[in-house]
Amino acid sequence: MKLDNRRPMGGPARALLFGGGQSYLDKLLGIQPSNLIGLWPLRETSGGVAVDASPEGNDGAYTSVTLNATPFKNGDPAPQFDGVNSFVDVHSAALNTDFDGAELTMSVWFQMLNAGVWTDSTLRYLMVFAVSTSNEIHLFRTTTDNELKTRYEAGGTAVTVAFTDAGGSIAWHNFTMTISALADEMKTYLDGAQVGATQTGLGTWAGDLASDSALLGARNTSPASVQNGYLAYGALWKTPLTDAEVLSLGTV
Amino acid sequence: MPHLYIHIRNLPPGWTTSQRNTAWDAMRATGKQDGNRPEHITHVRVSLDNAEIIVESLFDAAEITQAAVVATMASALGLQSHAVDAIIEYEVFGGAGATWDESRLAALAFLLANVTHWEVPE
Repeated sequence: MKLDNRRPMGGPARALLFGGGQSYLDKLLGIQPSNLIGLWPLRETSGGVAVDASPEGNDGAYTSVTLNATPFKNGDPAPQFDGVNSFVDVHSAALNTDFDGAELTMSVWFQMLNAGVWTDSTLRYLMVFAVSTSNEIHLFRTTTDNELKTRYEAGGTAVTVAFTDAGGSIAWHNFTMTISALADEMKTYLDGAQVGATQTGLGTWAGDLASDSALLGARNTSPASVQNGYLAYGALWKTPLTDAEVLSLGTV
Repeated sequence: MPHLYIHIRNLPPGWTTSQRNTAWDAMRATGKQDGNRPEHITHVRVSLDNAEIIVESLFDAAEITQAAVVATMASALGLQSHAVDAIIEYEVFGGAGATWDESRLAALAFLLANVTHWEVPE
């Protein structure tokens, strides 16, 4: 079955196929819809376009990704990233225009290929938006066993949160970060619940997104630090979601 | 058609940056160039110093013998094959008969063993 991301099935039609009521895609589309600037379900079964289901239509491009490799939690197909040269490039002039590095939420679901990925001493970037090394936002696995980290650097000032709560797991997990320069807060969430302390002392974001650094599944388009496993439902809002909204998106 | 990862390292004293770029562009043109399955289309990863390249694709078996790879680069560079053969190392990750996953695992092991050539620090 080929799923059309731009025209998501409504609750009743989808419920017939997958059971339940509102679909997960419908739920995400309903969270701060006027601030949703990217929603990449990654559920295509063929082709090179990673369709953006958000109203902005900021489509991405698959590179060396195996589509329809495993089911996501809701049954949608999800792609495999090979750990070598896979990524989804979501950079575009339109996304750059929509993007606000000072106020945002970025979120992605991930599943490691196997438990060994958690201890292979290799950086694995899951979601990245960057201008330069002084203005960059990363959701990634570090070289420390079982550790995930968020990193927000703006104007050369970096804040990070590292945690091991998902270490060793080969289940699907939601990884989310919210940024608000206005509130001077960076928060990190795993599966809808905040992990680590709220970070303050944020710097001032500046610049346009680099053309090689708006990605799912790798650090850049070289590509370096490639995910070894699966990703689904990358999402980007130009506002920090509330704790309740993050809990909702972290629940399928 | 085998779906594999191949690796080429240009030994010192190697080519200039321009020559390497020409050689790597020639390798980008090998393998399957289009289609509906992204993993089957030729994609490359270049080392931090631009001296090595990993190419993944759905190849014709005949185009990933060492002689064929050398001939491809020599033709692009306007060199004799022996001049290229003398200054490269070449391997098919996992061997020519490997499955895609066997080749992928060999590529992953290689990257881990040579991480300073391929990854920038956090």
